[in-house]
Amino acid sequence: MTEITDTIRNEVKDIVYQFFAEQCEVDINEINDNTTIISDLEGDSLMFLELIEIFKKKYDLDIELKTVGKYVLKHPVDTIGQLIGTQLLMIRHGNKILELD
Amino acid sequence: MSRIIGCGIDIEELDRFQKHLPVETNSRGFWQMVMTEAEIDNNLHIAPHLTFPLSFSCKEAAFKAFGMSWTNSRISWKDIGIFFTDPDDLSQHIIRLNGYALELFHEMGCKGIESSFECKEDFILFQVFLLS
Repeated sequence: MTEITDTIRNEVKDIVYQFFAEQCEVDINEINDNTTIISDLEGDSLMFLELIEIFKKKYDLDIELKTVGKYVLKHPVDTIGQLIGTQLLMIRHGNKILELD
Repeated sequence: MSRIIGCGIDIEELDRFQKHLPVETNSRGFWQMVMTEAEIDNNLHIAPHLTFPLSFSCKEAAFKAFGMSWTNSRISWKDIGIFFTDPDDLSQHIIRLNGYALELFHEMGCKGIESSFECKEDFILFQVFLLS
């Protein structure tokens, strides 16, 4: 289990904002935690997967996509804020994220 | 006569996959999230610049044919596999279902699965049909 510090929290937020700004070609200042990934940014599965891959590499995460899928099934991710929250839980708990329920 | 029970269509821009190709140590992790090692090996030995994006698109189309996505169902990416059988003709491929995708396939009363795709210069379009 990785302890979530303010540094990690800010890092994750920066990565997510930067990623969607680049991929969706929008001004980063137009993105906030309430921005919806599909409706507002037209995000898709490939982006979501790429983001997971970025975090897996950066934080050396041991988490299966199947686990992420099962978690998101119960805890839908619609907004940027929810996505950041989910990524932080993935970093903190890895494959044990499902045990949180 | 077969009836269409589910139909899924997916379009992908080829450019978006370039950063994950060629499949080397650094980019293999991305594909390992969505494909089995058997699929990766199959894709590597045919025409990787096309087979990897086609496989991704096939899986997306199959999710849609089931009326689902990987974030709102128990189907996992690796439950849907595509294998190319002829290096000179990518239309020669088979789709194999496993796990929950296979369970659902039977629950829905499906007896067959058919697919086709089109490759254009900068995008691909994949269609998957679930048949009675």
